[in-house]
Amino acid sequence: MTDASVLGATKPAPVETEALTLMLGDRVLLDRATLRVERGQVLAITGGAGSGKTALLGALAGRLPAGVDMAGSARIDGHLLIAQGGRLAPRRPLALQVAEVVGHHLGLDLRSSLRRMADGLDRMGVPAAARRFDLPPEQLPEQLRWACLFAMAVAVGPAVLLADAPAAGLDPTVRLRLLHRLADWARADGVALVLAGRPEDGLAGPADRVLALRRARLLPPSPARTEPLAPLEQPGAARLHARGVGMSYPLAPGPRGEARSLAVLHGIDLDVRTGETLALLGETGSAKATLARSLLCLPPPTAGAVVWMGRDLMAASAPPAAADGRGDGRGDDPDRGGLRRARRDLQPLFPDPAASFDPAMTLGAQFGLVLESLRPDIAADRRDHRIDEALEEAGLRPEAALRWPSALSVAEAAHAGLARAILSEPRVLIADEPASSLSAEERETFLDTLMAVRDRRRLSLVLATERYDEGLRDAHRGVVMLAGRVVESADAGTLRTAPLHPYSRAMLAAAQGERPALEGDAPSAFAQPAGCPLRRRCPLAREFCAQAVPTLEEVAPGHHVACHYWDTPTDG
Amino acid sequence: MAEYDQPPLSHPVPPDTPRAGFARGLSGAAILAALALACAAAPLMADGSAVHRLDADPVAAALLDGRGSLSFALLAAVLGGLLGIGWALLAGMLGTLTGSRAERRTIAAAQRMAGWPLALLVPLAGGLMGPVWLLALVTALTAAPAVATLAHAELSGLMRAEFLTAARAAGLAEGEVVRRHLIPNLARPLLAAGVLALPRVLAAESFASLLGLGLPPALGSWGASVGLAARLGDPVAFVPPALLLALALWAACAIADGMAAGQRKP
Amino acid sequence: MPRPVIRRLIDAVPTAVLPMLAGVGLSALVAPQPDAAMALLRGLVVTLLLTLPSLAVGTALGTLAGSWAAVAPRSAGGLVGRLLSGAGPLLPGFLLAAAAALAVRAGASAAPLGWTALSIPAACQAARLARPAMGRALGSGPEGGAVRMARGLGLDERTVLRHHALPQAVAPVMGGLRAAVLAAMVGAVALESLLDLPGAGALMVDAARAGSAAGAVPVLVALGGLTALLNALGLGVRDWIDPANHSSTPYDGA
Ligand code: SF4
Repeated sequence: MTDASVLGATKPAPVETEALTLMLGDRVLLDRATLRVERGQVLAITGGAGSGKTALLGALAGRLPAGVDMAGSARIDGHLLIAQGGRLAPRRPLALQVAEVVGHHLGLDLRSSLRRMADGLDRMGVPAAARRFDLPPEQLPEQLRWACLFAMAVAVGPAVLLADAPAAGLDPTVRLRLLHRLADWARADGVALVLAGRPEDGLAGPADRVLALRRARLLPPSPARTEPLAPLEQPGAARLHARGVGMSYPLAPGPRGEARSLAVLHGIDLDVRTGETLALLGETGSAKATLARSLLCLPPPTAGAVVWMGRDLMAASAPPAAADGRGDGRGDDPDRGGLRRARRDLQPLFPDPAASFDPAMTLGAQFGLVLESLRPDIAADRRDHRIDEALEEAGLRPEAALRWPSALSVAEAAHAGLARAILSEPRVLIADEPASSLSAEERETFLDTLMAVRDRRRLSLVLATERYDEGLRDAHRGVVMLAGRVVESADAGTLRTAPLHPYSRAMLAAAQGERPALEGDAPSAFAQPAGCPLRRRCPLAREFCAQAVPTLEEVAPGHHVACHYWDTPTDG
Repeated sequence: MAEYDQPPLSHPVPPDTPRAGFARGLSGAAILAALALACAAAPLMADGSAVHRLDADPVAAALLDGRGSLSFALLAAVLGGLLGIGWALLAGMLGTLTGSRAERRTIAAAQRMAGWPLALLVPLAGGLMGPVWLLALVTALTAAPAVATLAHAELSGLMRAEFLTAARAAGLAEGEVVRRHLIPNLARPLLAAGVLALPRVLAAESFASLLGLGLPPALGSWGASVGLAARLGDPVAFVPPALLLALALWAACAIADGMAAGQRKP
Repeated sequence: MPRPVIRRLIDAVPTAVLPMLAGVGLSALVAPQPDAAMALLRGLVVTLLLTLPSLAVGTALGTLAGSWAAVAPRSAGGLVGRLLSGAGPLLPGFLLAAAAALAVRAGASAAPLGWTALSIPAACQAARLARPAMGRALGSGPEGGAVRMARGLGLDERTVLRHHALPQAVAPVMGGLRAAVLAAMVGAVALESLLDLPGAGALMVDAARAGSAAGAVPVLVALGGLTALLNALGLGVRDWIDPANHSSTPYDGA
């Protein structure tokens, strides 16, 4: 920006590299890359974990990470680098840190620095009421911290802004809104903006140009799979029913000693048919994970009923929980047998597969235990064979049975989790963000394996995820959840093309890289607004939304929406 | 699965501090074992006949003293470790039986006691009470609250572990979850917490003996010899027991650290 | 005195001042000597004077040396830090007190030696906690995020170390202050008894030697109160240097 007046044909771009090569030990992270980013251009670089994005940004910024060697040349104008994680000094008030950075670059005092920062926050769309500069970053919500970081960059106004995994970890709707605002600023002010992140972070949406860092080269990205692997089969009859399932957690007693509790799940009704894949879509605080666990009765929900093949699971799981601590009453209790039978049919996939294995046992020993408990009909000498089969079906080698959980990589642990889930030949898999710890190709591989397993065994699958498109891609039906309630449920095709609820529309927009039409961030579970939980962010909200919680109504056959004004056009 | 062999750069594994801790723990154990052996063999080094402690050479005398110090420390550490672990288990049990309030109170008591200068109780007990077993009990009590706090933290962390949920999903009854998963995983952290008592009781006993209020003179103790030499102003008698004591303390601390660091990795 | 320290001291009245008063009162009632209460009061002051400066100086120097050991392990300061953090458990306060007593018998003067003997364990403890924390703050793990960010934002190295790395090294030291206070109390009792200083610890040990519970127990109670007082001071200092309490509210008009 400082040399904006210097015009001419030889004007160099703010970021230029010439045959830039990066090596980590003897591994090539980047092979002779030539790159040019113009003023006002937004470039997204995507790549899975360990692909060398951080090293590339470090090389551009002139701060190579330890152990990385560089060859070739990189030239860059005055720049800021927003490092991965977006951490600031955790206990130092934000205002001081902002003033330090802005003052360092522009030579301003505290007051003018903060004024510039306030302008930046305006451009990031942070309402004035939410600005609490005097708090240290660790006491600010994650979303506000990222907005402040971007606003700090806006206040400094560098020629180049490099952002490593910007706004990663935020909900997609919030992240895309921030990224779009940042990209708008870069285009308007002629800043070269380089965003680096994982392919599933949706950086491609706000960018002008996308490059994927794969096998040490910067290539155009390969489009993700958008269609199911094999055509989906028609589901059969409903076998798993949830009726009015609710969950509330006890809180510390109130000031007058009255019992208090926090309800996170409000009376959900759900049917899962055989061979059906159901996507539970929702972001942080939507209680989709709580619902998934309630279906498994791990722990049982505090209200409602879960029925599997005509048997009420909550009745089966409630009494033994109290009685089993003392005796080892295996199989002598008919109720327990019923629950065990249901456990054999309903198997979970955990969000952190590595933590779901006992570190003190090999995989094989744990699998053996599962078989012993759930499949007493399989003879002990047949178990190993069964375990090997399951491991191979889940994409691992049979030798994996001899390994300890701590020796598994994250991806292997995910596949091992899948192997354990199919060990007992279940009918339903209930997966809570099963691929959230994986990235890029590992993620695709895992999801493909999961779908292949599902198709081969004609399993029902309940897939809780915050990735709208990915969840619906392989699903028959989708359920969009917000703050412990279902706000829209329809078949997957409808949700992917024409959702009606404003929240579903925002999630769809975020998934496609567009700007979601929601403002502000999600309220915390302790401070839900009265009436519709979305009303502080909703573009359609009117006064009546504050008065009544919208109920699900059927707007078309098989399509339910919970919104008072779903039929109002968005830009009306 | 060939593509899984790349170490992810953006999430680097933390440097091998657990391994380093393990190595330190191992060297601590080796040193302590060597010390114990040397002390046990000390009577052979002395001039063969009946041991006259005062005229024996200072190194042999210090080694002889080590027998009292080390065996007392071992006894008190076992006692203290058991007391602390029992305390933590009691708190955990209260938590599952009667609710989290009782659990929190039980553990808060241990935390508060750990901030009290309990080590001062040992010389007091040495002065006011007679028998050695009482002294051992008091010494064990000084270490127990710290052990209980750590053991309880480990216990409650483990109770929330995801693999217990996975075991329940596999249809295991609560009793079996405890037997097959909880106890094998608990043994190591509890042992690590219990070992924490060793350096504490060794230090407390030496401190009391240094003031002349610890073990009875017949048993012999590094602390007593150090204290005596310091009072008499005799550097030749001072150095060997002081060095051995420092070494033993370092080794005990290293073992405790190594256990605490190593138990994060199986 | 800074406000957070005063606040912590007021909070600590029931746990610190009450036991001390109770100890003094109890010794006036039950102790065999007539002037026991006055002696205890004087002894408490002596013990406080012995422990407080050595704790403060030792912790401060140990933290700095330990942090420096992570920044520049080969420099002189770094070597000292590494030495301190490595030697921690080798040098308990009471052993140093015995060494000091030996030196005093040989003709050295008591006060500076006593303070040194008590401050070395505190320094070791602080260095032992600060060094790995500083290493993590400067390293490539998740704790190093703040430093990487500050460098990426172009701040100069001095500011980065001072405001982004050092607080992360100080935090665990402040958390471990309670253990340092306990060690200092034990060391002080040993020192007073061996050097015949008129401190509370010496009173307790003398009474215990004489087998007089009435003389020893009140002193023990009072020493517990003194420990609580030192802990409260430590918490106050922690609040005081905590950057989060240096609020910039006056500039919030932006
Ligand atoms: S009920 Fe109102 S606030 Fe809620 S989604 Fe519908 S229009 Fe928006």
